[in-house]
Amino acid sequence: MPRFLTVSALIVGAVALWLALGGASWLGAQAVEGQRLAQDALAGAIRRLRAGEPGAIASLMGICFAYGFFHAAGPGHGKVLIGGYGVARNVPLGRLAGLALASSLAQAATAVALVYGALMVLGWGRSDLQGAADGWLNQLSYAAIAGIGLWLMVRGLVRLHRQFGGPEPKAAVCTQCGHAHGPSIEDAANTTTLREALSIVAAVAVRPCTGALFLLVLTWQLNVAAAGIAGTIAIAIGTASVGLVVAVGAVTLRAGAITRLADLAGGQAGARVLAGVEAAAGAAIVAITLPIVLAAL
Amino acid sequence: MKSLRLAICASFLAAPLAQAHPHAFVGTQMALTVDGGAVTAIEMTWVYDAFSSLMILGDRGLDPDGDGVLTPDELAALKGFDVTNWPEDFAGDIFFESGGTPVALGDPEALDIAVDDMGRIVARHRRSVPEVPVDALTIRQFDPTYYIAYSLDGPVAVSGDCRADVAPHDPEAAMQAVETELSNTP
Repeated sequence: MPRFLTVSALIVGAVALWLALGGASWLGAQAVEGQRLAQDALAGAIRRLRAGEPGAIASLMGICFAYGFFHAAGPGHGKVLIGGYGVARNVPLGRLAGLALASSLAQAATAVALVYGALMVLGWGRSDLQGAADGWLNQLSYAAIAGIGLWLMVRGLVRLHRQFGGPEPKAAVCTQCGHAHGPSIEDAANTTTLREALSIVAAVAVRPCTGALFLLVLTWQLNVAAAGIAGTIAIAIGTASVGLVVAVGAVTLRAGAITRLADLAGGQAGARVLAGVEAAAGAAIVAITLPIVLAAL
Repeated sequence: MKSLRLAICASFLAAPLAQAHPHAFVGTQMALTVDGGAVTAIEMTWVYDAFSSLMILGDRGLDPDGDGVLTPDELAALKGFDVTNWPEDFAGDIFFESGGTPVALGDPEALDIAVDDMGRIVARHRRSVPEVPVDALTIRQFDPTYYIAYSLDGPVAVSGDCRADVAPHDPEAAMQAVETELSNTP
């Protein structure tokens, strides 16, 4: 098993290297071509649905899933966060995959709430919605992701500092009086996990997919609103499937390479490796997202 | 035959990573009018993807049944939709350069409008060009915000004794340009 994990981690590393050396732009071009095809097919399905053709709803769902998949296969904000978090922290695959799915579904919920709120309450049009999604919501999402990256970085650095002879963490139970004066390390870890999960979902979900907004507006205009909401969920599942691939890659890399390295180093040196990786993954998230936030200011 | 050359670069130019995916796809056909060794006009046909076409029609309340068949009145209302009220900083996503100097084109004039059997809007417009010698003329088509991904469909038609060289886009160079842009942003 450890050998299998190490080999898998090497494969993940090789894929990451290929992406960095130009693979990403190739992949991006394929994703754009796929999205183009999906977009034309989507229009056909919506028109068939409007015309009341049987089976139109099923084909709309399939095309929406494909649209979400291709849309997410290009570079994007959710993948940076899920991947970086999975490398930084010891997150079980199931939980990370759940986070990827939850953030995509929450993103769909944001799209539905935004479109129906804005159309009905604010009287916005499509260009207002798109302006908000591509504008301030996008910036807000990247700022939140950069914030999470910064937090991971600081946590890693603090742990690294402690490993290098900083102050000893306080004992959970006071040796003088036998009472717990503050939360233990385990307590803190448990509460931050839930808080972390919610932060990650919120940071991704705050910026809805522009394609989903368009689908919702269009289906609303054509009186097939329910199909639009179902399609938005199908897009989210398509998006989540890419997030799932990223989650598997991140967990494999951590279990197969980083944890193994830490085990080999052992003891304090191993703890330093883990703290260093957390800080580095946090720094990478900040490095990718912060320029985008700053560029908009 | 005069060896006059035009370099045309229809690009998917990847722009800010923040908006890394396009939302609309436009296929372009170009025809250049060459008169006495100078380009005097460009005619462009823009074919919008079917999804964007549905949205464009929806925004204007046209074709409410969504069957892609427009009445003559609806077509008349749609004609010129993409060449009117351009913002100050929008140059039609087409960039002419003569020996490295940008060339400003005339205002667009709508020629034709149609919706094809795939439900795609096909819009044609014409712009005058202030007599640029064809030597060393470079035409690039791209959306700097990468909201629209343009592709060049078919060869570039050129009138007269002339030919156009079409260079495909270079994604590596585009990514490099984005990185430079991002690192220059304070």
